[in-house]
Amino acid sequence: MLLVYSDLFRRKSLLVMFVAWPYLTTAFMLIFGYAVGSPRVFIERVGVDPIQFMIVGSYLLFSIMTVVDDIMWRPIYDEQLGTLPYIVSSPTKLVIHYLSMPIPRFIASVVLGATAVFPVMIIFRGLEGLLIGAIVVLLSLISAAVFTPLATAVGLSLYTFGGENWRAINVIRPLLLIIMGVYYPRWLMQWPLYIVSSLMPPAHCIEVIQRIIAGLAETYTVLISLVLAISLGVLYGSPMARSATAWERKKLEVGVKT
Amino acid sequence: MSEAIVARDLTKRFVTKKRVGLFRNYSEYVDAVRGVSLKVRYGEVVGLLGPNGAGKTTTIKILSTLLLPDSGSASVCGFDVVKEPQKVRRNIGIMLSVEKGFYGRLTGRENLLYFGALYGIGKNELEQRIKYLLDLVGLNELGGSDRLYEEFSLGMRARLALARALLKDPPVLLLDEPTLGLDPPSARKIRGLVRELATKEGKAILYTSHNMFEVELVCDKVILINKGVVVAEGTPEELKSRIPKVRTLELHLNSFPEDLLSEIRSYGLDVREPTQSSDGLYVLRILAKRPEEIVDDVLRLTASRGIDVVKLKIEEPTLEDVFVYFTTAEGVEKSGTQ
Ligand SMILES: Nc1ncnc2c1ncn2[C@@H]1O[C@H](COP(=O)(O)OP(=O)(O)O)[C@@H](O)[C@H]1O
Ligand SMILES: [Mg+2]
Repeated sequence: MLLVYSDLFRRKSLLVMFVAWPYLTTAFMLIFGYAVGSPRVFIERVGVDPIQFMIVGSYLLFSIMTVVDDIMWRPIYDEQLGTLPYIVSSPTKLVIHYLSMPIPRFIASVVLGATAVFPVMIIFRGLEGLLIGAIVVLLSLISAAVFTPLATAVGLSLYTFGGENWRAINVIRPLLLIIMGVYYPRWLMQWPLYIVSSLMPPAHCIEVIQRIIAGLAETYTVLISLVLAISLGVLYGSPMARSATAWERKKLEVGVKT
Repeated sequence: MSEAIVARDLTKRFVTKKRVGLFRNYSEYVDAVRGVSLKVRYGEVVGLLGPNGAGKTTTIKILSTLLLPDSGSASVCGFDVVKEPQKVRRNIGIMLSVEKGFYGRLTGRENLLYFGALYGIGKNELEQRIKYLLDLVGLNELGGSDRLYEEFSLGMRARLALARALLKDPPVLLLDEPTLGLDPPSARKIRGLVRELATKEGKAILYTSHNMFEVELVCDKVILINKGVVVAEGTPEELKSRIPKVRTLELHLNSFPEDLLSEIRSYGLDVREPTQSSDGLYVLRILAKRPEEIVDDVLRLTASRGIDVVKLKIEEPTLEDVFVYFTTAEGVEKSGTQ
């Protein structure tokens, strides 16, 4: 636990950004959103003002990205800092270490990001907004948790087998997030995209949130989505473990960079 | 079981893929280590000495379980580095770089807390240990415990790295060029500590360097490595006694006629090309077993040519001479037949 606290401490300069970021992206997405399509079209098709979608989308995107970023970048970061050999040669297991790294930052982003979600939801929904806000926060936790195995597996496999191409992570990362459909109602996606996005655990959480906001939530669809999300998350656990072993093995073969 | 580190015939070949054009690749091989064997006992500092690219870091990485050897075997504290890496890791402290390896936005103390936690040291014990270590390496007095690592000087970084290596109080230390590029006080501090840790606490220490002078200061035993091969080993004294022409007659001359060199050589003396000293004198070195016997002859020669001998001294061999000897063809042949 001490490890986690000291990590949070290192990032104290980033805390300011946590507070500002959701507001910034929301503002940006609003402007961007209005530019792309008229809000009236959106309302006609979905039945809800796009602002709600945007703010929740930004929030989800941000909290998931915090975790994914941390996990995907951390090994590279440690390699460049020269801290990797000391981490590899510690008794703590590598996967466990990298999975625990984003926790403090994630908590910070969830808490601080919520400051953007709650006011907006309360303005639009009144007291009900409070409940929706709480659900959104909860689901963002689940989203991040179930996305982690997949993100780790993809990231580490790329580092292991991609050679010099590991920088492709820059492309893959936003792609993963877009495919999940944070900004657009998932049930209105084209079917090929819908299937691909269904393979991503957090997509189902996102759908739940979107349905709740659009007032289309039914107990059984919500349950099915959640079960899907969690089982997919668990399913990706084994590729994650395998990619971590392969990555460590590769490092030992070419020598951990100092 | 007084041997803490044992390595037998370690080899490691690195393969680097070079890209030619868009699709064609070719592989380049570097044999970084070609059959290195070594032993380090508890209470002993062994210097692994060699020029850049000799394979020192590669050897250290293999011993610290950060690199798998292609062949050969090694054990640390009786545990095999390939088969029981976790047990080895629990028994070693490593220092792989003086300038990197910590988080820039944490202070010295926080960095140690972080790595201590990673090594699974309990909170109270860890805090005491850190306090002790920061004092030991002199970081407290330099204000390093509460300053951010990114503001550290190289000397402070090296001290912190040594402190980290000592966090677990391991019986074995693997230090890769721990004084490379340091300011003299920091380098001296680190050398002093290394010496002390071996002598007083009985730690086994493998210490790499390409600086002969410092290896002679701290090491009980020296292993010379060149191009991935051990070319000689022994105590500094043993090594020096193994080079045949061990001493040098050094003359500082005010002028140097071109044919002087060949004239001296015509007497059968082993003389090196002159170098120029900072005060504009020519420094001539003649290698001989007993230089005092040739001093008279040499002085007579220079007098007859009207050259002033400003300074004259007889130098004992340095480890550098040993090193040059063993890494040139002449030495390699002889060490091979022994
Ligand atoms: N990861 C690597 N990939 C390819 N070549 C390497 C790698 N690491 C070291 N080498 C090569 O192996 C040789 C020995 O390197 P090293 O052990 O670092 O030498 P030293 O530490 O004695 O300077 C060098 O020629 C170096 O270029
Ligand atoms: Mg080196």
